[in-house]
Amino acid sequence: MPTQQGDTTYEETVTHFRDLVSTRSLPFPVAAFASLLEHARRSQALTISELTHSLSEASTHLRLAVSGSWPLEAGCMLFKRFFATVTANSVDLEMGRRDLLRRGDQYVATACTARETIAGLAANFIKDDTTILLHSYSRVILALLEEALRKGKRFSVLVAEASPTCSGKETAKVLKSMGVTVRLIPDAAVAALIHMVDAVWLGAEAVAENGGLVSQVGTRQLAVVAKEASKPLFAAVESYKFVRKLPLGQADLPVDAPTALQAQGESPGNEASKDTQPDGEEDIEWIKPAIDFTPPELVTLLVTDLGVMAPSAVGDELFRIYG
Amino acid sequence: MDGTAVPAVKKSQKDMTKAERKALQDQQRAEKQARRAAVLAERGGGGSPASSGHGKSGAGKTSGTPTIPITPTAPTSTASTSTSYSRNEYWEQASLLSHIEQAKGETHLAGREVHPAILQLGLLYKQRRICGGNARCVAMLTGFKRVIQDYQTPEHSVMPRHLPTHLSPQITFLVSMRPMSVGMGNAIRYVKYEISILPPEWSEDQSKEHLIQRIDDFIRERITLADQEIMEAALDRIIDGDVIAVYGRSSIVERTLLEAHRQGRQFRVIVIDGRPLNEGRWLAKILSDKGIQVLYTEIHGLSYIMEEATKVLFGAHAILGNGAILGRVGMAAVALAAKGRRVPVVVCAETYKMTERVQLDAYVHNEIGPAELLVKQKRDATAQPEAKAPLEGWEERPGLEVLNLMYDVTPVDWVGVLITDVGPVPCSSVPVLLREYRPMTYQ
Repeated sequence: MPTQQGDTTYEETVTHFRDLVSTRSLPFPVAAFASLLEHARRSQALTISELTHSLSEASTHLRLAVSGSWPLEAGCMLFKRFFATVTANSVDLEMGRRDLLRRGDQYVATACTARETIAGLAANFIKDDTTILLHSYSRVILALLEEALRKGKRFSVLVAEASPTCSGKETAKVLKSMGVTVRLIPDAAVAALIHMVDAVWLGAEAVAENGGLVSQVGTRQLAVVAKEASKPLFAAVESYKFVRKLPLGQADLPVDAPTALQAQGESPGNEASKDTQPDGEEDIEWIKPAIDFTPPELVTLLVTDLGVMAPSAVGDELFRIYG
Repeated sequence: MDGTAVPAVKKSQKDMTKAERKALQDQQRAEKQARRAAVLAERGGGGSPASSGHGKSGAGKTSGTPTIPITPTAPTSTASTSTSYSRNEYWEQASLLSHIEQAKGETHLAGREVHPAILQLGLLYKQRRICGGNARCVAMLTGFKRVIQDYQTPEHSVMPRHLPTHLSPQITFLVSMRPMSVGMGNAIRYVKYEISILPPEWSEDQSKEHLIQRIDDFIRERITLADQEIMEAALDRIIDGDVIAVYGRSSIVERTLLEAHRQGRQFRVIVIDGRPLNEGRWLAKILSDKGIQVLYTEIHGLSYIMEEATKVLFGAHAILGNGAILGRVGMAAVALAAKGRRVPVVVCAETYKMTERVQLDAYVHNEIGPAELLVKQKRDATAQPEAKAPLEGWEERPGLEVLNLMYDVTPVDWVGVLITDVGPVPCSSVPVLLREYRPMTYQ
């Protein structure tokens, strides 16, 4: 009975989700998917409809736990769709659950290889003797730069520090340890230094239906500057970050949405995110949005595990998934 | 009463006595009738009424009118002054719009096979009493239901074969009253498809009943329920504090705004309106009747009013294959102004209005409305009925054309989101929709 199952199970699912994110450092959508799968594994539901109900409750709990996170939303929606497809032909609960778990585990395993696929595709886009501009911290970007290095590409990197989390510093550290020529720049210097740059590479937390990017604040202004300077802007994103939402602009993003890094609670280079303000400024109000929306017009291409695509093709892929 | 009439005209009118004015009117009327009789006489020679009504585009009305010399660029070109064109020839040879058929709207051309319900409907279309994509489509389907009800398969014939030939003249007549919309085209294809798959062994009554049921299904699923879906999705886009600019009048936009108000959302509406139909007045009235704060303005005030708007909400006439939106003329201007100010544009349209046709501008395909609508002083009821508008009698003036285009095309990148009954999508996804839902357009 869904009611008897009680909150503890839902709480466990939420805890499991957090674990997956922090210890296995899974991306949000995959972690949400895997934790819902785990929920299905443990569920004591007796019928498929009970299981469906229990899973949708669990999704709600996840959404509440990290409110306003579109990457998490993407994972929950994917799972819902996946569940419906898998169980559509199931005769009984056990068969349905067995199929679900088997194929679900496969899906999670495949999802974890998305990054390598992207790295393989994207490395071809990085040319010798070029300068690349990065923003904040993205594991896909690091993976693809590593792959490019392995292929013998020589390039240098500028990293915008991405205030207020300053996660760019972490990127710079990792790249330096790889032996890449890397320099940090303040966000405010992006326009001043854009002439040195040959291409901009970005990760994203979620991709909207029109191909716009939801990512850490500062991305949009970087994209505007890149567009103005006619520099190509590439986004490397895993397809599970595609989310069936269509923001008209900044105002349609969830208010107070945390970045994936913040929600993870272990944001690299996180010194500025603690609201310690210099003396005498305590009474001055701040607005510190965590994410922003980069409209598709500013994005040249998306490099995803489904291939390289124009932003407008995201809608096509979402249709393929959700119908 | 005279205060509102335009001075130049008023003077000549004022000088006349009432009797004189009446005499003038009568004379004009007689002339018009004579002209029409001439047309009729000419038609009588050339084939059956139905075929001439459909086949010879545009040739009818103007070939009978006296040939008027016209000088497109009068002062510079001496050659053109010596050549005399008929007005129609001018459009055919010199105009960008010569390929667009104009509805002739002549009811006497209706053949005997046109059902009375369709005759009545045709008149309502012509007088723009039934206006708006959904209303026209529902009215047409309702008319078809009547036609089917009263239909009897002739001997030695079967319904799936014969009924379409019976529907064709009805459709031809409706089109001659006013060109049909994309949605109507899709609905007709649907009806014809349903007729074609009728099992031949069914009795006539059973077939009719089934067809009427299927037509009702179309109205319910593709229009009524679709509107419900669209409205619910569109409601998500209206938040407290919004200032929503709308253009003209769209049934779905109206429903959405009323529902948002009913749910207690706090927003203002700017109704931007355009001549000659001025449909927005009704919208403004209906909204303000319900207590919504409305600002009514004409399209001239566009650039000024757009500063206030936070969102723009449109209905649509059709969705074209490349994602562009065909809408009431003026819509593209509003969308452009919105884009200029980065005000997001939301378009609401049912999927039955989708077509695979791609149109890059409004000249490729359009509807030319009656020029009289632009000429007539429709401004207020207080003006003297006989008061002459400045452009009255424009047909007789060489070098003056009046163009009343009905629709224009809003390109893909001026629209933020397209809300359809299959959910909100970016306009760039329309080709995907068309591919995935191809059966829904019966193409």
